[in-house]
Amino acid sequence: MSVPAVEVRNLTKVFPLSLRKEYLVAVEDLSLTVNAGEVYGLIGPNGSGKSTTMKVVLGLMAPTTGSTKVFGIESRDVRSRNQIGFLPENPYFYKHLTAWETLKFYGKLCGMRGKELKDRAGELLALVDLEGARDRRLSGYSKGMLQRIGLAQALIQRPKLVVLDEPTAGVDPIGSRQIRDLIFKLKDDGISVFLCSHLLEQVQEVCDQVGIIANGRMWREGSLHDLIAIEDQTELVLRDASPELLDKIKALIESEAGGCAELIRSGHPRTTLETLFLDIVRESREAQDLKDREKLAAKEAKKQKPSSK
Amino acid sequence: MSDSVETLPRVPLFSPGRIWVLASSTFTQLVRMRTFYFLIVFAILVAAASNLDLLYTPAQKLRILKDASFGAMSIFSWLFAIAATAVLIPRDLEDRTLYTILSKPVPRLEYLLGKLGGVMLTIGVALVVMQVLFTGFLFFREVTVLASERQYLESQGEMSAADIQVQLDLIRAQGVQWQLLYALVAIFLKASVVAALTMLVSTFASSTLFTMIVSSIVFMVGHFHKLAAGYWLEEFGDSLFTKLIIKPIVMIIPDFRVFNVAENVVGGEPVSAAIMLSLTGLAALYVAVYSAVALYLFIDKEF
Amino acid sequence: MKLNRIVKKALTALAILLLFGLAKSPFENGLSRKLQEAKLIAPIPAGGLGGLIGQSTFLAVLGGLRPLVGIYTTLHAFDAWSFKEWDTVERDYAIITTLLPDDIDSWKTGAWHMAYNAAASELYDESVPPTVRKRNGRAWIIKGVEYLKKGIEQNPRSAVLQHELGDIYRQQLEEPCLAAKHYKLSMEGDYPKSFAQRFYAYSLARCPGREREAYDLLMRIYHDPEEKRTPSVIKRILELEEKLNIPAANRIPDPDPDLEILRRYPNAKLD
Repeated sequence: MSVPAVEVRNLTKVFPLSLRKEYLVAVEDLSLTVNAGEVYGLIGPNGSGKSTTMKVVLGLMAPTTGSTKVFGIESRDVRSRNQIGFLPENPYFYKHLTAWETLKFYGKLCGMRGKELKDRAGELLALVDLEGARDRRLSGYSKGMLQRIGLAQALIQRPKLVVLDEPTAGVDPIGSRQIRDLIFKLKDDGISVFLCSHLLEQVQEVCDQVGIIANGRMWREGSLHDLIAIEDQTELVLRDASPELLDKIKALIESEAGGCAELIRSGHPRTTLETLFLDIVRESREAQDLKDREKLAAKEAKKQKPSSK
Repeated sequence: MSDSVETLPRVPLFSPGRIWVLASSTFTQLVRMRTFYFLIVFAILVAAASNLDLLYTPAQKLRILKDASFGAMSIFSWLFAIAATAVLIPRDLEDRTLYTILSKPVPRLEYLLGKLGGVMLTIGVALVVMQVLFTGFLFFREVTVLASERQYLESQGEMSAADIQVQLDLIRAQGVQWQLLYALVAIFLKASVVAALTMLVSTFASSTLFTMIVSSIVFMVGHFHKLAAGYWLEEFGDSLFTKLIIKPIVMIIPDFRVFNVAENVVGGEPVSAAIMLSLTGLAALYVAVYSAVALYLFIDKEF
Repeated sequence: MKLNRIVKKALTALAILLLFGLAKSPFENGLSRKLQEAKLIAPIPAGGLGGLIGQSTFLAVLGGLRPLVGIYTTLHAFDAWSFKEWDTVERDYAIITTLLPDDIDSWKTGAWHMAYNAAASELYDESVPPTVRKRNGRAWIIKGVEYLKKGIEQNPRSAVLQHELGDIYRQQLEEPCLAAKHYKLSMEGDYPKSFAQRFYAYSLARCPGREREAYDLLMRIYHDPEEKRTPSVIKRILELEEKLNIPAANRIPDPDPDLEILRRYPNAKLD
């Protein structure tokens, strides 16, 4: 049994908001596992706790309770980062460095030197298709190019896990496709990928496992295949079906003894991840609203008490 | 094929190599921020000072050149130490460069020391360049001044050769001397302490401006708090105010005046190696303690 | 819970700094004392300067820019001098030498401005009646003397300042005895020996009651092969030979045809 690439156990992260006792619960009792060699997509609306989770995994933040491990090593341990390549959202690296210098800088930080480093940097520039711009300073780079040099930087020490935060945010469709292809390539090379995004289409295309997070909690998690399958429903996909045939099928269903089965809809299949996502977001909002209303009511009650005294 | 913990490469807990990588990158960053344009201003200033021909006696002509140059070097070094250090870490955070660095196997101590080292390296290089530049001017000025003074004294015919020699030696004492290197070291030491102090402030400060202001205030107060404390102690005696406010302040804030030796070394006062050693030790102690406290505040800081 | 931790951390950091401050204080204070004794750092110019210069300049001085403020003030004084603003010159030099108390040249220049330039300017100020002029001029000379005395207090071993003071007594105030006293003091320092000695002898020769001493010294200079027989040496010896009634056999020979002039025209100025 191989060690999971990322293991998050009952993670809770609370931020104090002000000097008074107000807190923001960014992540609440969240657990997830990214198995080695797998592409895991964490999706959720803005402010749902995706980035916080990633930062804890990377050791940039400490968990309030719970734990995160990377290949079995606690995230707070510097050694865990040996195996991680990280691409933050909208990365800006040192603008005064060229692409070549950037890769060499990060490689050296990982203890690489000499020919090994040079070869690797050259290889990565070819991989992200920036060989032509290697001696230009990053201050003159487009967003898509920055994203690509960011990915190359993340891969410099041949990590076994790559963490990508909104890898295609603000990148045009062509750049977006290039990054997607790179993720496929990483997967082929046996590298685990942990990415978070709110671009569902992309997640749907590349991820093996998906977790849907909203308001800091994990609402649904599983393989993409299982998630979008609705257990008690069966989908028939027909080609060139005549109206007569459809009527016949309908009649057949209605004539079924016991009358348990019913036809819910017929038509073209939809991107069901999107439906699921929107359902969850709605559900979580409603739950949050309820919580807020309860809180408000409790506050009102408190306020009224002293006045009645 | 599984990835067990044992197969992971080990990360040395402390790697001078990585600190050097961070320091040299910081140096490059500062240089590419056009910092060294200051050197042009410096060169103009030194050239101007070496052409200043008012009523000065020969020795004064040399001294004014030294005073102006070392004054400029001193201003540059502490101003730069505060400004550059205050800007560096927030900038890394804003650009998210910090995320990418700390998500590599880089302990936070090394990050801090790398940044501090980069600032000190930049100041050191700038100071050496200024010193070389200024020594050139001083040497040239010294030769000219000595020649014209010798000619003048000999033409007067009133002094013996030995007496003339005494006069020329007095001028030479204000010229190029090894002792001037001690002044350079003292300026560098002061700037290093200021940089470490600024880094400490920046680990808890909420903005660059705050860092700059607090560091500058501490720097200024560090020049006169010993004097002010003496006044207060005389005025208020051992009151609660002095005990709770004045004494702790005097205790915490460094006495930056001790690093002002540069001024008098430039003026020609002899300085012993032992004193320079004490100064270096004191500065190293400050840098070490400030770095340690900065690390303590920075180690579990969240971004 | 988390905020408490932040507060706790801040307090711990402060405590560490305080403890460190406590530990390093004796060392730092000791070093500071040692540096002051070695004249490597100046004791802070406290009260005196506060009134003379502005607040920002004062901060600059404390901030380690003493010499720069010194230079600026020197330039300012130069400017004031060219406009004959003597009060400004006087104040500027008070600042300069407070900032740089061991800068001999500044003491010398400041005194020179007062005792010579300012005094002369007053003496030849035609808009003022002659008696007033004389008094005003003399006031400036006295200011120069006082200023130099302060400089000597700060730099007791400076032969240059002693010589300078001797010069003012001899040339401006015509006090040969006082001049002799300070020339004598300048002989003990690093001032050119022969020079200092000759001026001491010249002044001594004019100081009533000390003619014999002066004559002996001048004769020693006269016979010393290392020393120059300047016209002034010879002139003073000739004067003293008359005054002290030195027997003809012991008198110096006519050393130089040039000196015939002195015999015939005793009032001719050669020095």
